[in-house]
Amino acid sequence: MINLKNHIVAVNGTIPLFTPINLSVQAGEIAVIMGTSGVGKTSLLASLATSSNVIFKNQFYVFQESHQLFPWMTVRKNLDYVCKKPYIDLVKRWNLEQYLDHQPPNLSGGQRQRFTLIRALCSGLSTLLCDEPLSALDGITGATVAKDFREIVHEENLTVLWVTHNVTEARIVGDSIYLLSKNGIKDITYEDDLIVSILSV
Amino acid sequence: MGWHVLYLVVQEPLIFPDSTTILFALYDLVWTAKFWLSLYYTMRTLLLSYIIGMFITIIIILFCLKYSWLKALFERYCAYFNPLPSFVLVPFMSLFMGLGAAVVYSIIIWNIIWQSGLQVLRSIESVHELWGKQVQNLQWSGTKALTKVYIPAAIGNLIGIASTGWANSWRILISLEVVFGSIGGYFGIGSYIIDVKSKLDIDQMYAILFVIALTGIIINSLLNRLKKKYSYE
Repeated sequence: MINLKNHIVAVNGTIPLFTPINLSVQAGEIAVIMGTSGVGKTSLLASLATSSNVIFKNQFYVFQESHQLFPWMTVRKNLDYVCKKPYIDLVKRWNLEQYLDHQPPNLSGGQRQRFTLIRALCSGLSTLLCDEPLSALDGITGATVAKDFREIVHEENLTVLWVTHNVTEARIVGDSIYLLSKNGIKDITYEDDLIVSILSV
Repeated sequence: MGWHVLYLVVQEPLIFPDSTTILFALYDLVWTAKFWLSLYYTMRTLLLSYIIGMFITIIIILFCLKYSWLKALFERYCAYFNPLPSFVLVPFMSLFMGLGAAVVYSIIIWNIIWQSGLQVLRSIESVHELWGKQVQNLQWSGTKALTKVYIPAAIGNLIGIASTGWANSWRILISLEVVFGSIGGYFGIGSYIIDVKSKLDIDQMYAILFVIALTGIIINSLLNRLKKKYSYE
C-alpha cells in the first residue's frame, strides 16, 4: 500500500509545487490523480519512485513516453527480461500475440503502451505508478484496456497510482479519484461531474 | 580526368605517371602475391593492435563507470594525451623498445585509448535519459545494466567511434611501416610502397596508394552503415 503523510514535492528542492498532501492507497486499489497541466502530477509520481521518506519498495513506474520498450530487443525479449509472471494470456486478451517477435520501433504507440502495461502487470511487483499510460490509445481500445487493467489489479491485489487527464478513463479505471491542485489534494470520487469539480478548484 | 590533365601538363612520368599506366599497374598488382601478403601483414597488425587497444579501453571505461575518482583521472589524462599526435611518441618509445613491432603496437594502442576512450565514456553516459530511468525502474545495475541497456543504446555511437579510431590507426600504421620498413620481420603495405618507390616503379606506388584509399573508404562506409542501422536515439 501507499501511505503519504504531509508529503511535499518541491522544484529544485526549494519551491513546493503544492501544499503538503495526505494520501492512502490500499492494496487492490487504483487511485487516480487528475489535475491541470503543470500542477505536479508527474513530479508527484517521480517523487514517490525516488523518495526516501515514503516507505514502500517493489514499485514499477510506467512512464508517460510510449517508447519505453528497449528497441534493440524484440517485444518478447523485453517481456522475458522483466516479467516474473506468465504474460501470454494478457497478450492474447489484448490481441497482441502477432507482434511478440516484432522490434518495438515497428509497432504503433498504442501497441507499445499496451505491451508496457503488460510488462508492468506481470513484473511481479506489488505497486505500480502509472503516468498517463493510455495516452497513445484510441478511446475504445483505451476503455477496454482500462477495464481489463482494473480487473487484473483487483485479482492480483496490486496497489496503483494512476495519473490521467482523461475523465472517462478515470471513471473506468479508478476506485478513488483525486484532484491535485496547488492547494493540495481533494477526493472527488463521488462527485457527479468531474469536469465541474476540476473547474471549481 | 584531373590526373590525366596534370600528366599532360607536367609531362613528368616520375611525378605524375599516365593514369592508364596506373590502371595497368593496379591490374598487375592484383596478381602479385607479395602485395596481398603485405596487405595481409598490415591488416593483421592493425586488427591485433586494435583489438588489444579496444579491450584495454573497455576495461578502463568499466572501472571509470564504477569509480568516479578514476573517471576524473582518466578525463584529465585524456585532456593531456588526446591532442598529442601519437606519432611524436616514436622517438620516446624507441628508446625503451627499439625499432621493433612492440613500438608499432604500443603507439596504435596508445592512440586508441586516449582518442577513443573519452568518446566511449561520453556516449555511454549520454544514453537517453529514459533508458537511465528504466534501469533504475527495473532495479538493474552493474554488468546487467551495462550489457542489456547502456551498451546496446550507445552501440550506434560506439560504431562511429570505432570507425574514426580505425581510420586513424590505419593511417598511423602505414606511416610507421613507411618509416620502419620491416615490422617484426614482416613487410607491410607501407614497406611495399617504399620498396617500389626505391625501384622507381612510380605507377605501382600510385596503384598501392589507390588501394590504401579504397580500403579506407570501403571499411569506413561499412562501419557508417552499421552505425545508421544500430542508432536508436
